[in-house]
Amino acid sequence: MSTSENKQIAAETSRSVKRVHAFVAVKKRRQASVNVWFFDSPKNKARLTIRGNLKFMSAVLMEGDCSVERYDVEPIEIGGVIGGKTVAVTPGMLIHLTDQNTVWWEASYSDRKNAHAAGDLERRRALASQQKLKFQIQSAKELESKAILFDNWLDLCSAISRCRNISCDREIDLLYNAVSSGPTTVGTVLNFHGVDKACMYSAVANLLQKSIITTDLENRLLGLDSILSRMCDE
Amino acid sequence: MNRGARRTLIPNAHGDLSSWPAPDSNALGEQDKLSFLSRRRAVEMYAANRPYGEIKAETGKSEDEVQRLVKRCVTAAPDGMIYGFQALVPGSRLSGYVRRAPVPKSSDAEGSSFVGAFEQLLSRFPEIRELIESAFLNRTRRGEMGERQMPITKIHGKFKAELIKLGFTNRDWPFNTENCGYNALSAYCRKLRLSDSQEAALSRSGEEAARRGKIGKGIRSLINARRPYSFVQLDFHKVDAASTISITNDFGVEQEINVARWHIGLLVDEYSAAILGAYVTLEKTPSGDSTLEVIESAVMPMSLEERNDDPKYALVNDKRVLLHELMPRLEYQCFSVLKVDNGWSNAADEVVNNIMDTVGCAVSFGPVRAWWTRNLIERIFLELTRRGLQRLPSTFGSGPGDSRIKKPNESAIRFKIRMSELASIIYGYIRAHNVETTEGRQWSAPVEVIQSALQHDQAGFFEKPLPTVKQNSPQLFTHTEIVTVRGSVERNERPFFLCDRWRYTNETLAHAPWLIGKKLMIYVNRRLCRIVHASVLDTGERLGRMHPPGKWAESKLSWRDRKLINRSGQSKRNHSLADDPYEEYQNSKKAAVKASAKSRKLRSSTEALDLARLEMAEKRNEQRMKKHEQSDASISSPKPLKNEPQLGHKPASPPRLQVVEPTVPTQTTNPKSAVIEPLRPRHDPFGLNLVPKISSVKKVK
Repeated sequence: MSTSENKQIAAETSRSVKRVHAFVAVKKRRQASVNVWFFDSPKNKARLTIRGNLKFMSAVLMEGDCSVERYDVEPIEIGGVIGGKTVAVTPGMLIHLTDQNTVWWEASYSDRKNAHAAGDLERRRALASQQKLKFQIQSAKELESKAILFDNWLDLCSAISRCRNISCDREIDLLYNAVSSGPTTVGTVLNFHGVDKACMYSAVANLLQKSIITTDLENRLLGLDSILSRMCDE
Repeated sequence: MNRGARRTLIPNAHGDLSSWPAPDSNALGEQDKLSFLSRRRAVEMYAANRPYGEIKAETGKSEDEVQRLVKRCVTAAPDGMIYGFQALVPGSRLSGYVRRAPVPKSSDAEGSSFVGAFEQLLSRFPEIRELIESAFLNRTRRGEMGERQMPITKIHGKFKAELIKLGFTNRDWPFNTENCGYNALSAYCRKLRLSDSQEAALSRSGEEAARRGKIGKGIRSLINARRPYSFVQLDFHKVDAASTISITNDFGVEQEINVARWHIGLLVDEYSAAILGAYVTLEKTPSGDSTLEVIESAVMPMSLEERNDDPKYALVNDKRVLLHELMPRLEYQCFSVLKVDNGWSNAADEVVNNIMDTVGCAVSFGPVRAWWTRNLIERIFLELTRRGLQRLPSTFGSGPGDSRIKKPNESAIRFKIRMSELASIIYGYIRAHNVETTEGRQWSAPVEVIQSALQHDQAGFFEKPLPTVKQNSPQLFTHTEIVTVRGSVERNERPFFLCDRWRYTNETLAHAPWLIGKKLMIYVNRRLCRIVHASVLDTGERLGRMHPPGKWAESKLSWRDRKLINRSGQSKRNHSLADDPYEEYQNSKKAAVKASAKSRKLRSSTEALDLARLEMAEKRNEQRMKKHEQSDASISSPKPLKNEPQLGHKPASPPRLQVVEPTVPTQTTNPKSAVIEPLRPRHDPFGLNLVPKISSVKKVK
């Protein structure tokens, strides 16, 4: 890996994030039954406040989706005309893709099967269409099959956040050289002599997120015997 | 073959019989199963366009019977689907009984029956149904005041009143029955409760019951712990055990204060149920600092020497209690998600942001008043209380009504039950919890679960410690505070700051008079309060490690212990009834002056000056007392003696000077007595009560 690429990765991870006003967010949540999550997003380089498990799980999965450039969990209102009336609606999330498209994301909860919820989703779909945005409804059922992938990315994101503001240049170089020589395992790179284990694991997470290296994150939990290989080797 | 008219009973949308709901025939009785299978065969043959004759030959069902069965199958069910083959189960009802015959006017009529009369009435008068449902389920319109848990008798009263308004008489149902329709109404309300149990729960059973409806909905949980240290739960538990805190200061002197209740915080791993961290706090409500202490205990190891000295580990021989003490390879181990409740201490900005900055985890605040989202830690607290603390004589039990309470405060003092001893019991239990098998983990111990996960790579668990830099960082989990730099350029007083009444400075600060009045951010090591680092607040300039006064340079006090000692010492002084030597001197002077005034002898100028000085000093004291009311509460002016006469006159001008022999001032209960008795000296360690002899000079006019 070139020095400049290494420095870029290190620079991106070293930016400090703005602190959240946790007390206000927790005390003023509109729905008392909703979980409030505070999450350091490496992709957005920000500390996010996310309401709801479905939204949080989707956000974490997007950290590992290379087609997603960034996402906005608290977007501003989008206005339009529905049935002759001017309306303004706040999308659940706005996802900005690497191909310059934007997706209007909404959550669908299984215990809200009623005409009102269905009508509300249709209004939102119509507004998205007016704004030339793709519309995506995410249900909990669809995410059940991605539970392992979610758990892996949750672990990887915390590894990246843990080493924010710490220089991991050496570990990134060592890891890159190791996988360039051929597939290796997580356990092997973590046991390299003289490396900081936390920084090396953060390096693994970073290169996985940038799709420079790859491993099976969908079917098994990332472990010491997980095989890491260069993306172009796949 | 004559196939008859085109078969149209089965709509095209339900033409695929394999998608029809069907019962588990193995769960039916033998007779019912045979009957069901025969009916099912008949319907399948109908759908396959087989002639009725063939159907009858094989199943014994006539054409009418087959059509009846098919119609039952394609009847719409309440969930929007059709009943399908479920409708063919013998005895199954597709809808409730509907009465068609008119209700008789009198129960005496031969063959009279009122079955279905209630439903018929509700169908005829929908407003009655609305009235009953609104009353039972407490459905109110805006501006209306509802009534929760309205008794059925009251609803029955409203029901009858409404019927009378509609023109019902004694000859009409329900007035022509014995119970006036009460039984039917009651049965209808029971059905309402079952049909919408969640709405009924709120109106009939209360908020707690309604909240419980969120549990066990049969919906699979989206987010679960799949490996150790992925999700951890933190919570505090109030310990109802009166105890005496014993803190030893740097001089080895023990200070004791009594507390009625205190808290213990635990950090628990969801996957293995292992207790990762623990902290005992004496605060009325746990603060953000206490939350950080719990996290620190889980992540930052304590040396064996420190544990040997810590009374909390007294009951554990090998001093290994928390998980990373039982498995040292997990020292500094981090986690991915921290789950907490909505307590303000957890929600404090400093707490959330500091934890995320250090550990890199996400933080999750559960729904309001939803204890079941952290049921693991709640169960552990319950067990801890039952096994350890409620059995002690100093327990407050589960509340005032608990019959086990027997003067807990007195017991604490009488038995001298120290908090360190109670904490050691708790730590003993924590150790037992971590190493004992539990049904919740299929009879494995939490530590065994962790060991197994480490041995099997597919478990996805391995060492993920803090970066080395953070392990050694002095700012990790320290107590932070903002202080003001003190000092004075005019008085040439070098800059310093105060923290918990200790004065800190170092060479850098001492040579920076421009920082006087500026704010600093200080980081106090919780375990050793003598270790403090400081930075300038607005510029971030690091000033380095600060030094406490020389006498505290080797202090072993923790930040928390220092606060407790200071608070305890101040409180004791405020409650002290020790004599004030100067006050004794004032009293003796006053008594002497009063005694000489009573004898109508002219006072010397010296004594008059003394009196004036005393009076001025008294006035100044009173003013000072008003300002510092709290600290001087123990100082009180002596009450005047009962029979002591008031001074008849006050000198407007200095009295004539006269030589008098000084007399030893005395106190006496008999003001007329000329004998002045000597004062019994009070506690006078410094000899201030010994008034020196004063010789006066007589001036002659």
